[in-house]
Amino acid sequence: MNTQKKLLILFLFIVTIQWMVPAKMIYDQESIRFSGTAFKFKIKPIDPVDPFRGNYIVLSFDENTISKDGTENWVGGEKIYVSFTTDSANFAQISGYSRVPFTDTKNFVEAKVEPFWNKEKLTIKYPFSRFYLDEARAIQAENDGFFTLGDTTKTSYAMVYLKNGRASITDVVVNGVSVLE
Amino acid sequence: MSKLKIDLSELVQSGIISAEKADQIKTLYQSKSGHSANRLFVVFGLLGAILIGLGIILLIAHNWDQLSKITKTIFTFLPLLVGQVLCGYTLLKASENITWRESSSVFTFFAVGASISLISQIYHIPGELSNYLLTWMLLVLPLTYVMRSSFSSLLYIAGITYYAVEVGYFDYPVKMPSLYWFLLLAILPQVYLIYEKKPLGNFIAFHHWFIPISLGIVLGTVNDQASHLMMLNYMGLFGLFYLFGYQLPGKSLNGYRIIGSLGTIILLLVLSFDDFWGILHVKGFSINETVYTREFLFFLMIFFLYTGIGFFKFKSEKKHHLTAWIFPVFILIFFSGFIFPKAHIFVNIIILFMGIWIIYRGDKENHLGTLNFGLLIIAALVTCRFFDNNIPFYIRGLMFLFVGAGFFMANYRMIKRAKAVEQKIDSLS
Repeated sequence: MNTQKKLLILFLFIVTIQWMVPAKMIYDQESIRFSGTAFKFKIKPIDPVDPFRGNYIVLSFDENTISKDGTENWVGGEKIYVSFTTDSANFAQISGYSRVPFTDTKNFVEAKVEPFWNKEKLTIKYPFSRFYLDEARAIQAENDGFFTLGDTTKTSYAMVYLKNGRASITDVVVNGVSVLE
Repeated sequence: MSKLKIDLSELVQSGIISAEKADQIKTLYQSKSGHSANRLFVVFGLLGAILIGLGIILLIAHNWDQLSKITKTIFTFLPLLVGQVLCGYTLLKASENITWRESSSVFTFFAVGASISLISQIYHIPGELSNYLLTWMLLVLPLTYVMRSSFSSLLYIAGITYYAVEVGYFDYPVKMPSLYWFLLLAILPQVYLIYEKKPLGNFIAFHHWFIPISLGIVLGTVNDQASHLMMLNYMGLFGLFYLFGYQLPGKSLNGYRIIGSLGTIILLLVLSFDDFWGILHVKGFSINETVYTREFLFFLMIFFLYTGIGFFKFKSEKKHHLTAWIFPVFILIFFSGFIFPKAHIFVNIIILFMGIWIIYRGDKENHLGTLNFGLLIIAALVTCRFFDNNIPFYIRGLMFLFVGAGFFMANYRMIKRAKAVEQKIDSLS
């Protein structure tokens, strides 16, 4: 086999991998959305920009702390599995946490422990903290004070699908209005 | 070219050169201008590919709401497909054309970044910037080899450096980007191939800047518990650059040599103040805080590499360079700093000695640049001491006067000598 043929075979191999990685990313997300369970997470958002990937809202969640025994030791950045159920108003509520994946439910997510720890409390960093927006819409929304969450009578939440430790976020609703509308 | 033709015909008419010689000269210049035209094609091809690639990334970052998920997904793969088709065409039909090779691979380089970025956007995958950069660089690494693209290799080095900076300085929790060292090792064979093909080419000259800058930035991420050892590591790294830069062919200065010597001098100037040494002395030497640390492990690696290259160099070359000796001497000064609180005095002596040595060399080799570089080192040292409150005003004043006068005297002497040589040549002719 001559060098050009070898190079071409290698090139086709590279092309396949370059297609497989993004395709796998799509497959993973679609699979969570298709067969995962949807949860509504109460939020308080703000609005920064990423140099490569455009405007997004950073979401911080109301349900992001866990009370624990003072003798338990966790360090900032450590992996934690958190399981969920729904409260009376149908919002996501933490039902348990563990160092290993849950086997009795698929409604859990792999997250990280935040650095601001407290002996009796853990703060959780979820892997669905970003929601990307159209640039024009992001600027308009910011100017309109869309993200101020002034209206306390209406709720703001993120719609998240969970499936065996993985999560996929599909919508963010602020003061009762979807950011996608 | 037309000006050359007129000049040549004038020379032929006046009988200074023969028509045959004129033809030879014309062919030589024609082939030379052909080379530069080729080079221009490469530069414009690359610029085009970079601008289009970055343009696509920015267009994607706008995050078009009007488009459906399916359309967005198609757009995700479209630039990638275009880039890959261009690369495939290059491999089949134009594998020896540098412009095609470089432009198509640089375009694909950006297209890969754009495609994973767009998917993160469509599905709101948060992920750290570092993970995104890592995936991107791993996907383009083999492309630089297959396409034999020098510019993609430069972009790759920039990309892995950005990745290391994110992991080592900005992410939480901050970690040492161990993967960076493997990613860098992975591109070295490609760098060697570029070097082997054209040891004095522009592309390899750029690599001689990109690699030391990248290493200089990332070495800081090694810093953990024994921060004081980082001074030693940086001094070693600059020494290594200097030694390695001298091994490279070509008379002009290369990135390694410039970064090596400037880095050494700047670090020495920083350490000529007493602050660092005071802290080092108070800290004292402890096996646990010095030897059993990852900083010390890096020190050992740098030291062995340095000794290896140094041995090879001194075996092959008799000429000794002072800068190459700074690191071994500095090791002694550094460890003496644990016992002796005023080790900065030694550092000051080294800088002064270096300055004088370089002035002496400039004078001996009759090189105005080297001479003034030496004077500049001494001027920088004196300027640092200007801020030292421990030295009385009158001594500081005298120091400045002395260096200022030195500048005048040395330059005057050399210019006078150069004029004398010129006169001598004139009188001979």
